[in-house]
Amino acid sequence: MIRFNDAAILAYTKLRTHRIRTGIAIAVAGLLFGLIAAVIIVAQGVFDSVDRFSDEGLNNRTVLSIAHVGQSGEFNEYEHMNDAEFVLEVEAAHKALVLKKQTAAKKFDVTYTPEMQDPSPVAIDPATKQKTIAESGLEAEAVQQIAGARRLAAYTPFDINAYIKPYPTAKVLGLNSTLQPTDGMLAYMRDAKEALKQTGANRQQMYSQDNEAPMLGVIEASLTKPFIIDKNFDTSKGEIPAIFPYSTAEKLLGYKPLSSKTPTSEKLSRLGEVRSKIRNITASYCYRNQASSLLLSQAIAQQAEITRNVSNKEYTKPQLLYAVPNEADCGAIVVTSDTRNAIEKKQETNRISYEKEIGAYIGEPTQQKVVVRGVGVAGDISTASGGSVGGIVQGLLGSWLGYNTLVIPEDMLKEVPVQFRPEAIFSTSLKKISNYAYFPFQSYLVEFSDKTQARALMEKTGSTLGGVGMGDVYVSPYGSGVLIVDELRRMFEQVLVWVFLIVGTVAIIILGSMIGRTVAEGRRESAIFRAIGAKRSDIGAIYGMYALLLSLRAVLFAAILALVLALTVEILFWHEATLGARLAYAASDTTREFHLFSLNSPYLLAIAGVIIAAGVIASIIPILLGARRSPIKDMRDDT
Amino acid sequence: MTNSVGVEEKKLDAIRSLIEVFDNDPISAARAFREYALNTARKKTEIVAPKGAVLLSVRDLVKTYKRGRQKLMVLNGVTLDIHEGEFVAITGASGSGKSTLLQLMGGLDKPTSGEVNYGNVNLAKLSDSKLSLFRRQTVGFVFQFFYLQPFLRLNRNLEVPGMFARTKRSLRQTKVKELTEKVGLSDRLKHFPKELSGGQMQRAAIARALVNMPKIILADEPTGNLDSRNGAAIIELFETIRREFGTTIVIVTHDPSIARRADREIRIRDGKLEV
Repeated sequence: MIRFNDAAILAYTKLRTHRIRTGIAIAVAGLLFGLIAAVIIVAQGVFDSVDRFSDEGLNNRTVLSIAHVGQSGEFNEYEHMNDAEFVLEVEAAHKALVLKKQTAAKKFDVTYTPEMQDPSPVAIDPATKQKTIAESGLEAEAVQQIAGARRLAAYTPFDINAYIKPYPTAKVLGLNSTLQPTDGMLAYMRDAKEALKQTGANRQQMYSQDNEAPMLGVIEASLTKPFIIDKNFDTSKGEIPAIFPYSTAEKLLGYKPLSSKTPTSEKLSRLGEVRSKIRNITASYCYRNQASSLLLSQAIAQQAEITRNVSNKEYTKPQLLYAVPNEADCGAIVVTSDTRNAIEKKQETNRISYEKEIGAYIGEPTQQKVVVRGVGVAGDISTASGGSVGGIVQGLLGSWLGYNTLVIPEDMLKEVPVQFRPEAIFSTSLKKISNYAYFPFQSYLVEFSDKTQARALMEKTGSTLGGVGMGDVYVSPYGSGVLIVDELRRMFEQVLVWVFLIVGTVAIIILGSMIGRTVAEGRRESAIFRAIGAKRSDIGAIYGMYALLLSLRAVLFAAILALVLALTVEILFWHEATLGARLAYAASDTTREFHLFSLNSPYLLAIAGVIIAAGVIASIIPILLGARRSPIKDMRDDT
Repeated sequence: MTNSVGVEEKKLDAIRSLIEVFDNDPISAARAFREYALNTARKKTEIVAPKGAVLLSVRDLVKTYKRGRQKLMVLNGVTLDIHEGEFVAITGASGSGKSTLLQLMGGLDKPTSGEVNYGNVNLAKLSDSKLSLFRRQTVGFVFQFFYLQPFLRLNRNLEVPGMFARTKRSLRQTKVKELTEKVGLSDRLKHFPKELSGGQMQRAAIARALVNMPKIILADEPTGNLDSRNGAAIIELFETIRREFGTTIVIVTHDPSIARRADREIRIRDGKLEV
């Protein structure tokens, strides 16, 4: 058979014969594959960049937050208002409660009026003439006592270890909960000041309405380690070390958030500044137990009353007067004057004894200021929409520790002297369930060394990568978008197979029709070649080579187009993507870049293979048909 | 067959003279040795024609074509011999079957019946592959419309038969150079066909037909597309080729003046030889 390079010389003349037609075929095939190749180059660039950043934050770890959100079918008193058995129990409990209080009141000489303070929650339904729980009595102590006891009896604690047993690579890292003291509350001191202007119940309401107030959480050491900048934090001063979400740190440093139009360089320098100043950032919290909180409310109310009556000469100040503590101190509420007589003081002592007797005493007031100092920066859980490349990158690849939560590394917390981290505030173990409360929300962090098992668990619970789930257990990715990226990779590969099949078929049709016409129009030339000694196989080799050259040109065109498109994307968006990635990861290495361009994909070779295969497959039928023709007939037909 | 004493003696002589030349001019000797080796190798695969006498013998050749439902008899029992070194002109009116005869003699087509024998080989019985080999090694075709590849320079155009023969490129180039000098186109080697005149193109086509050094050239109306001056020059070229290479020339022509210059004129009329 004709030599390879000689076949190439003769095949090349065919490419020159129909330049426009050849050009169109190459352009169409090249365009289709070029677009795919460009997408692959960009996607591979993203995946490579993700890998480059994988030692940042938690991107090399697969962690799920598994939250048990309560038991379905637990006892609900609203559904048992007419349940005779429940009503009887409540009635008995109410009677016992009243009796207990009456006895204690008598003992300590305290006024107790059951009709006023503890009216019976049981009433007669006028329609059925049966005993029932009145709607107004649902919150009554006796009702809550019996309902709580029933809930508690039916309660099976959520056993996370048993739950993850079917997944051998899963390991529980710890709890994923924000700090919530069992008694009282931990309030964020905005601008390091306690909110002292509200009165009574409003004070508590105000705290819970402060949605922007950062919460505090304690997270297992290995998860927090990647985010720590200040490794030499001095715990002896009593400050609590914490990792701040980037946007929170930015806000606390007094920076105004930069707009999306801000130049990339400025955004990056802001990131650098925030990181360098992290040691200067503090956030203060004021812990007050219920007694302290009530006393403070009382002090504030007194203050307000005195201010209101400043010009009222008939106004008499309360006998027991409290001072409102300095707003920066989270201090104790001290008595400034006490003009009560001995009887009145005795009455107060009796009241406390009475409360202790009936179990209603809330204890002595305690309070403590907690100062949290920055030791690291974590990414934000992106709220960025898909509007910008940086936002997309940040959203997909972010590495975070919690939304608007200052995260205290568990290991560093242990080094803080115990008097600065009282159990009442910092306990991370599950609290004992109150008789009157619903069962608490339990959330665990579980790490999987095999992503497939993590995905299997998410599928089982019906959880999506966005963290929405169904049923008693919610599962969501924690700390990074590693599962999302993994899922994207898998989807990308699945889509590519289909795209290859479809575009490959289209390419076969385009190239096949092109080669078919060229073979048909080259019959006379083939006949001449046959006359001067070419075998059928030589003619086949020439057209096979022609198909190969045509395909190679399509490959070349596709490659150039893909490079141009991908480079354009890279040039236009790498800055923004880099910024997004650095913000997402709050990268410690701010010289690291996020590129959207990589030729390191086997699929690029696959594209070249598909084009060439399409060309060769497309050439088979025309070549076989052409080779079977009689040269003399073709020569005669042509002349 | 090479087992006769005479042939062995000739080989020994050749080797002796090669040894002598090696002593004096080793480079030329090496070239000569290669040429000798190539010729020997080629001869092994050639369909060997008998020396002298008849080169091609055509016997009772019949060729019919189907045109629609009609059967068209183009050749009807043609018998003739072509001798080695002959210059034969085949003449006849249009549609008389002369081109068909030429194509059958060149192994481009197969007869409906009858034989075309090259030596003792009946071309009709050869496989397509063997026929290709025959056309490649033994026959050189020249056409009225030259049929040069328009996108190849002249030197490449002339190399094409060598490509199908898998001749080494350097050998092809040497041969092309030699032949273009012979046909007077050595200054046109890098030109494309469209840059040549009709006469030049036909000379180029003749050079192409000679690249594989065939024993016979079959030319179908080679001057039909040329003016008389160029036509005469082409015929002169054929005569030169025959003289220098001993190539047998068979030309199909309408032109009586060309026919007169041939050794023999074979006239065909309605598919039969005119006596």
